[in-house]
Amino acid sequence: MSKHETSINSEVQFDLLPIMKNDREYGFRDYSFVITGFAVATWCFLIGGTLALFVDFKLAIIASISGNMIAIILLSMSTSLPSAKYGVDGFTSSISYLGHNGTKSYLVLNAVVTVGWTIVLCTLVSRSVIQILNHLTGKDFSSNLYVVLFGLIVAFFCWFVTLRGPHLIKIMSSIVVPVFLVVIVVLIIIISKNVGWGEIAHMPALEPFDDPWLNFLIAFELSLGAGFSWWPNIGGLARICKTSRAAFWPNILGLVFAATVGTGLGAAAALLIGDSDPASWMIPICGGALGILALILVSIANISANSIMIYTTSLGLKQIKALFRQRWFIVTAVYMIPTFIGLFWSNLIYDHFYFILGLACLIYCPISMVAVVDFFLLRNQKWDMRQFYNKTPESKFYFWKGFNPVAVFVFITATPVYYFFLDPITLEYTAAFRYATATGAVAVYCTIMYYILSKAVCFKMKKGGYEQ
Amino acid sequence: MESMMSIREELTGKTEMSPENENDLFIRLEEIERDGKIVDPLPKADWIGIAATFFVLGIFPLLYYAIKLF
Repeated sequence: MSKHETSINSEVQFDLLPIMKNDREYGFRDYSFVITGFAVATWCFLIGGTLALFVDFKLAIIASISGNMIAIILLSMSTSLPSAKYGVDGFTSSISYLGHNGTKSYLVLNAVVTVGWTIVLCTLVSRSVIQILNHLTGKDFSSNLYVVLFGLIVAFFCWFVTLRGPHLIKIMSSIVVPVFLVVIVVLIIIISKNVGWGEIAHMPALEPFDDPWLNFLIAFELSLGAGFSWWPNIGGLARICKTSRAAFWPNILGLVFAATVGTGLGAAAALLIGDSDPASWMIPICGGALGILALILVSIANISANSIMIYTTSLGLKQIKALFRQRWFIVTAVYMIPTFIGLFWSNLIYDHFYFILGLACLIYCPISMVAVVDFFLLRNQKWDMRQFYNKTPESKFYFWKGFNPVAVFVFITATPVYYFFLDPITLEYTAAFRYATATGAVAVYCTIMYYILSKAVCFKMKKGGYEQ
Repeated sequence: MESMMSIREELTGKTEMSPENENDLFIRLEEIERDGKIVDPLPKADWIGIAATFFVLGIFPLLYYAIKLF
């Protein structure tokens, strides 16, 4: 095994250890900066552009704050607070309610969502390159062939960056955050100067349904999805925070308020240009040279974000026994192959990108509610830490064959509950959706079912270490 | 010391970690078990703040527009 491979394996093991107070880096202010830099990124533009399809600028801001607030508070309760208290990340803590093998299955499911995001960001870079080429040459490169071709090249480049290891990723990230904030400030100045926010506030949504309440509900639902999408990341960050307060409140500042600034800007630009695709705004809004520069900067930001996602998700996949002994190249290839395949449908996935937000609601909302009930109501905020690290069937968190059937049942049955209200892929809604959002209904369902079934099954059969 | 012995007895060779990382893990687990936590949980005042934020900025706008637009 090469030195690099050994270091990756050592990092995977080291990443699983609880982080003690003296080793923690982030105070309240530090974490606020980090999470704000993380939150205000290209996905805000994408989400803002999508909200503009259904609602006007004012309602996009309100739906974004409201939906993100609910999602981020529930999410922070489910991962940030336990992770800060005990120093473990969200995936390790999920062993307490999914079981050792259940968590590994969940890692794979999480990778599916991340692959979706990787495809979307690769396509965004590809379309940005095409916009630049179109502008510079006067020819039209917008055909599907070029979108796929450039997308594949971008994906290969992101993979290359990931294979070079965390050092290159860290260098790219340190450049990207300030650069992206500059792009946002420039866009705000140009829009304020050339159009004015009063005018934008009066622009109608791009492709709304006839029912204004439905439009608001869908914008709210998508914002919930945007908020819940942070599930894989914030537990890992909270364990580096010096206090619980520092692990909780900056999430609200960054992931709700700062992200809403980016989302609002995305919505404003989409309403102004009449197109929800961020790649097509920059040149018309900023002008030729500045627009091209903005597209290049946003593309670098996307490559960096993609490399971080590929790296962290592949590190997570290394926890699966079959992949632990494999070379880093093979593990990352397991992630990249579905990405390459998906890129052949890049236009379809990119144009219906909101289905990833629906998928995020379907996957992360049930897990968040199960986590909140398990930690706060069933375990009284106390964990037997030894059980996380005992990988044999002797562990109390082994449940039945490494799975907690109650969590698995609740998780699987949450999907038809969601579909009873809304189809996240086609956004086709039922009459019931007007009375309760799909994610809201899933949250209530999971909370009640997990509590009752855990008491009836796990407590009764003394599984899961609840009796302590 | 007794706690460390008990941790070693229960977990040695069962963590799927290298001996160095396993030893590091045992030291950390002993410290967590002694204190019951690594950092203190949120104080009560913060929970009141969270509940207020949840309802005022999360639920209330939804209810307001439900009444206005439904």
